[in-house]
Amino acid sequence: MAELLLEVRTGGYPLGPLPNATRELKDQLVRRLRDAGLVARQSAVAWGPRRMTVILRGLPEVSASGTSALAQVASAVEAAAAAVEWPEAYRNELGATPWPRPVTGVLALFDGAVVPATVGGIAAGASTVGHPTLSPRRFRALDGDDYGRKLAERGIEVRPAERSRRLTQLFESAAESAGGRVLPDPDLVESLAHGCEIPGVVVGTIEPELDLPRELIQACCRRHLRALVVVQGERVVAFVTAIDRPDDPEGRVRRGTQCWLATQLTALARQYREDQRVPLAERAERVASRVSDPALGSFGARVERSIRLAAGLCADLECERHEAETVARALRLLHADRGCGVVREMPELQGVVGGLLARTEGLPETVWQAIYDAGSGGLTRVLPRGRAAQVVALADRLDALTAIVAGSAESQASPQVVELADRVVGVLVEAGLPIDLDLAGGRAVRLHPELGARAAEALASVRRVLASALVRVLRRQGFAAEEIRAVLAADVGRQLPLIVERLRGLRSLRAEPELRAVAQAARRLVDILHEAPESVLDVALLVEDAEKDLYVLLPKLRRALEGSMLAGRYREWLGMMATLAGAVDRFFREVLVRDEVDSLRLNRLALLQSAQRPFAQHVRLAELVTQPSGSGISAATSP
Amino acid sequence: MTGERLDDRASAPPAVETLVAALAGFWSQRRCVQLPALDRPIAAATFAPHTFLRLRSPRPWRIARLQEVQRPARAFGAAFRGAVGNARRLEYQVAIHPALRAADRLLIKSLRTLGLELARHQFELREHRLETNLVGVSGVGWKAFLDGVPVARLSFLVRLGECSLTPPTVEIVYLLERLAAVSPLASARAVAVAGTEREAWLAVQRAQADRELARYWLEVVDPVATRQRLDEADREAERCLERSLIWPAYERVLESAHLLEILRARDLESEDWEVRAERCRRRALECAQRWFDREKAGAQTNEHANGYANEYPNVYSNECPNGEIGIEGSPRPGAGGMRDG
Repeated sequence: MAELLLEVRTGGYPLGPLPNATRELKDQLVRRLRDAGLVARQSAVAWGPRRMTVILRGLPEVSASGTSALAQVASAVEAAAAAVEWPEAYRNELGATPWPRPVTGVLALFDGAVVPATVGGIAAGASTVGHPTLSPRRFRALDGDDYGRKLAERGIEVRPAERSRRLTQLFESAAESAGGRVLPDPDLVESLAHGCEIPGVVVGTIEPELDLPRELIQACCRRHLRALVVVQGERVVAFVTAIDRPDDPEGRVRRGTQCWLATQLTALARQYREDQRVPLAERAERVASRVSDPALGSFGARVERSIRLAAGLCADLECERHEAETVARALRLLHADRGCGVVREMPELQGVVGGLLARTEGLPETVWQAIYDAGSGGLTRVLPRGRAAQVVALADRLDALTAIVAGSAESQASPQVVELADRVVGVLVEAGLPIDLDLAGGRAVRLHPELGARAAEALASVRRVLASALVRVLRRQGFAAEEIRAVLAADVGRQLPLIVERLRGLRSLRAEPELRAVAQAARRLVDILHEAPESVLDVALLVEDAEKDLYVLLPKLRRALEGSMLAGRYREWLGMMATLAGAVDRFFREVLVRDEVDSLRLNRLALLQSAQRPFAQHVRLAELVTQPSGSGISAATSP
Repeated sequence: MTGERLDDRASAPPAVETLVAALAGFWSQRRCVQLPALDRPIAAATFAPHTFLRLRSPRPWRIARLQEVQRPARAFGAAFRGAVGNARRLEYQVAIHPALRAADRLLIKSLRTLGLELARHQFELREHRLETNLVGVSGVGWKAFLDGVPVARLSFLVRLGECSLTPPTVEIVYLLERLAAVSPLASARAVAVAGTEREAWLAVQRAQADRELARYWLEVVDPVATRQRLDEADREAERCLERSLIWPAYERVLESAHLLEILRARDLESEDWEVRAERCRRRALECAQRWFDREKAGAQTNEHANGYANEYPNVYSNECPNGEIGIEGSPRPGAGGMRDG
């Protein structure tokens, strides 16, 4: 059995898409080799800031025709590299292969021989390099094990998960030695792990005299140093970040990083003090005529629309008058901080800075928290604190989403729309607000009279976008795809708390053995009734005992099923459904559905149609099927 | 504060000049022609006509030059502390067309010529995307960080407006004041003056001139008059283009871009600002297109249609030093083998 080792190097990869691109390179390679009759038994991927590596093991050494497989491997390598789809933002015209940065080296070995392939304009060889400044000399690799061993000798850890684990440990111990704790930032740690091959850490102090809120220091460290902050209580005392080397010789990195951060923080502190001089209300007036996105109109217009939308949402939620006033007040000031220098420098602080300034001005807690939590910056909270803040976030995002989607049909899949929709649905789901998604979308569209005849089309688009977001958000909440399909396809309504409650109920039944039998009965009913004509049941035509018993059982169970489901007694509901499933199974065993006599056949189909309703009413059980192992339920029909 | 003694940029030049001399020597050996700086405010060396107008050139070219850049929109730090060094700084720019594949290795080599033992520092290339909306150039590449401080930028310039630049030009921009703070060639003197490395770092960048210029942008400039100057610059650019005076037309565009930056610094962006910015961008792209058309015509008649190329004929070179591989991947005269390993 042979092994394929492929490594593609550049001066530095974009870290965001690197993991997926490496996995895709591996998938493409496996697929193309399989198409050529070369099936790999094992695969492994690794990546670092300057290399992506794929190892396939257990490949046949010769092709189906009995000749060496080297030529087929070479063409598979070239085709796989050319087929890797980098995200749109990372594609460019740097060469024949759509690589995001120029390829500077390729290592490709098949069964120890160099693969005669070219990737990104570079012919493959048998050697690679270590760290660009610590071990830049070329060395030959004999196979995958030798490759890993020789990189390890140079201190390079090729496994990103291991780098991430080591960095987390290093950060924690560094923070402890600095007398505090690290504020968690998993995304940043992961990014840092992608960006270094030799995980090391540097810790530096932050001048205590800087009169800056924690959020600003944290954002500044993240942006300028890619560093996490170490806090004692609310006070930031130090920063920690990764370096791509094991040590910090003579403290150079600490000094350089500390000085660089000091200059940034001092300028930021002056800027923030300057921003505090102008009251937020005055800032709101200043930005009212400004347009950041032509699709959204001016900030003034956005605020007016959001306030009207929020009034409708408040009515739906039966908010108190003071809550509605808080919402309107916060919305008027929500975009005011866009004129602040700090936000211009660090847009991720939009909202946070407004909230902090509002707090400094002495505005009520509910107002400043609503501004703080509802900002569009990346540092805002996932779930705003309190119902007023949640309505503020919803109104602002839903209005922006509607304006963009209504303006351009192509925008529906844009990252901006996806993010807005996820935020809207995320707040609704997490807060459990009883708001109908479709109705809310309709309200938002009606605030755009300029749409005229296109309003219906825009509404359909907004509903589609929100429906997709709902599935994504529920998936992130840990619900399986088939569970979401089963609940959303049933007659649950569009109130999200009810949908989530139903999903939780279904989740609680996953381990129950009866669920399998019930799901199988539901699937059987769907299959047999597929394209069956609607028929009217005639009791006089019920002949067999099994069909008579099923007919008698149905009305008895119907009300009890409804009652137990609505009361949240899911196990009781499942027990009754299991009884019904048993009756359906017996029917299928003892009754011939496709009887030669038309009247009997149609009558039996009518009975089954009647029996099918409970299987789809509260949860569409046919979406769930059982695994052969009996370990529960799993994806239904999709491959 | 010891740094306050360094009350203008005059204290820094000996250090920065050392770096410039070292870099000029390094890039001259790689056949880059040393060109003069542009004597007007621009926001990045990339905007200079020496580079911008030549981006679509059908012929290979290589230049290196010193440039002071001004960024009014980032003036705040300079106005109040003078420590950020973003509002006004010295850049040493190298541009090579077509781009070299291993430009990152050349960057590392060039840093070594500045006396930096990179094995004793943390050197890192971080992903960077260059977007210059006011003149319409975009590129991909890296920012080079030394001990956590950004000291250079390396960009493959891949688009000019809607036009793909194939093959691209590679541009390396050294941020000289920051390099001066870390390079042994330069920082020894600064440390001697300022007392400590930390103070040297701050002192190099704390310049009275910077602060005054920033105050001018932020407090003195009259927005109404600035808008009038913008319109006038645009009209002049148009008149220049009518007479096929592309270089001066582009210089007027640069003036517009600078004035737009001042308005942005004053927080005076508006719908009107966006319209003017778009007009500036279109004018810049028109200049690039007209220059390209002229160069193409000049190449066909085997004449340099512009006197500038006659003045600096070595800008255009058809040779690539040994071992360097062009980004387009085709073998170039004198280039080393293409096989890796």
